[in-house]
Amino acid sequence: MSVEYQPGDSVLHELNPITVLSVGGCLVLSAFVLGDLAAVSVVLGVVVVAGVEAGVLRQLSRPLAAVAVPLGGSLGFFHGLFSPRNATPLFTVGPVTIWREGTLFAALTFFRLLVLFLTLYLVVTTVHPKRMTTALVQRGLPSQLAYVYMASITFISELRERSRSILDAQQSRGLDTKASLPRRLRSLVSLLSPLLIGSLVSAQTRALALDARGFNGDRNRTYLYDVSDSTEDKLLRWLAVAATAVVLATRLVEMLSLGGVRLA
Amino acid sequence: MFSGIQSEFTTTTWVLIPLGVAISTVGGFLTSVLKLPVYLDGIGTILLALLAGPWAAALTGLFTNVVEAAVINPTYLPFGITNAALGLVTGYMALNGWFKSYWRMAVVALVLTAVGLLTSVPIQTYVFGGFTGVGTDVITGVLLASGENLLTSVLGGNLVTEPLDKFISVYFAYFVAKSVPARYRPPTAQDVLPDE
Repeated sequence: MSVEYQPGDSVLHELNPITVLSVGGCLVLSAFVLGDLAAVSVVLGVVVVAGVEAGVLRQLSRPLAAVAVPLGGSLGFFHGLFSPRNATPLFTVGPVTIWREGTLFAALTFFRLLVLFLTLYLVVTTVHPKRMTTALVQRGLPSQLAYVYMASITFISELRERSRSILDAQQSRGLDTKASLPRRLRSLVSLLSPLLIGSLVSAQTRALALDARGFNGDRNRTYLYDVSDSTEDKLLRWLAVAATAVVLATRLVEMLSLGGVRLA
Repeated sequence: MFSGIQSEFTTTTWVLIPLGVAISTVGGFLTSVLKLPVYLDGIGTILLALLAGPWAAALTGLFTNVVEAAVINPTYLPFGITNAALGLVTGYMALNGWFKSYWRMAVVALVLTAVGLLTSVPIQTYVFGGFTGVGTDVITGVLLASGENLLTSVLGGNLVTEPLDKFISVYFAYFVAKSVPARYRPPTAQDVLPDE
C-alpha cells in the first residue's frame, strides 16, 4: 500500500521540485497558523484542487483513508465528547451529548492534518525522487544527504525481500512464530542479526564502490538530468511566500490583540 | 567537537545510514510476523548509534521518519524530531561507556524514555490534537474523559507504552550489535561495546 511516484504531464509534474516543495511548505505552515475552520478549509481546497489537476487523487484516496479515518474518528469522538473546553451542547442522542467546542477543535486539527498528509503525498507522487534530489543538490544540499534519501527508498524493498528469506531460513531450522512470548522475543534476535550482518558486509562493498565514483569529492559536479527553473516557477514561489507572510502577519496581530496564544 | 563529527562521517557511515533506515522499517515487519506487542521503530537508529556514532544516528532517525512518512504513513513526519533526538542521546551515552554493562543499559533505556516523552508528547498534543489513530488513543481518551487536560492525557497514554518499547529496543540493539563478528564491526562499535 506504499505511495510512489506516478508519471504524468500535469502542471505539478512539470514544475521545478523546489517550487512544489516550497509552495507545499507554505500551504502546510498556513494551515497550522490559521485558527479559523473556514480559512483552513480554503487551504485544504487548494491542495485538493492541485491533486485533482495532477490526476493522482484517486490513487491517493486509499492510503489517505487508511491513515485519516482512524485519526479523524479518535479526534472527533474524544474531543466531541470529553474535551475540557466543551461548554455548548451541539446535539444530544439519548444520554450522550456532543459538544460544539470539542467538535470544532477536532475538525480544525483534522483539516490541518489533512493538508499536511495530502501535500506530502502530492510531493511524493508528482515529483520523481531523482528530480527532487538533483534539484536540491543544485541548490546546495550536500550530495551525501541526497544519496541517503535515494538509498533508503531502495534499501527498504531490498531488506524486506532479504528479511523474508531469513524468516524462511530460520523457520526451516525450527523458528516458531506461534511459540510463547519470551521465545518469540528471542527469535527476533535470530532474525535481525543476519539482516544486520548481511547489511554490514554489503556496506563495505558499497562504500568502496562509492569512493571509486568520487562520493566525497568536493569539486563542482555535473548533472545527468537538467531540472529547469522557469519564470513561472519563480513567480509561484514568490507568490506563495508573500501569501504566507500575510497570513503570519495577520495571525500575529490577531494574537497580540487577543493578548495571548491559545494552543490546546 | 566539529572535527569529531566530521570523522564520524566516513563513506561507510553514509552507507550505513540508509541501511539503518531500512532496518527500522523492516523491524516493524518482523515484529508483526512474530506478533510481538512492540513497534521497535527506532531499532535502526539505536543500532547506528552503536555502530557509527551520535550524529549518524540522529540523521538515521530523521530520515527514517521522513522516508516512512513519504512511502508509508505521513503521521510519522513530525516525530522525526523525536527519533533524531533519541539517536543523538543514545550515541553520546554509548561513547561514554553506557553500553558496557546490563544495568547501565537500563539507565540508557530510562533516559531514552524521558527524551522520547519530552519530544513526542508536545508534538502529539499540539500538532495532532492528542490523537494519532493508534491503540494508545484509547488510554489518552479515557484520561481526557476523566477530566484531565489534553497534555496530561497524552502523557498518560504514552507512559504506558514508551518505557517498555525503549527497554526492549535498547537491549535488542545491543544483542544484535553484539552478534556481529568482530571483523565486520565498524570502529565505533569496537569502542562502544564491551570486550568479549
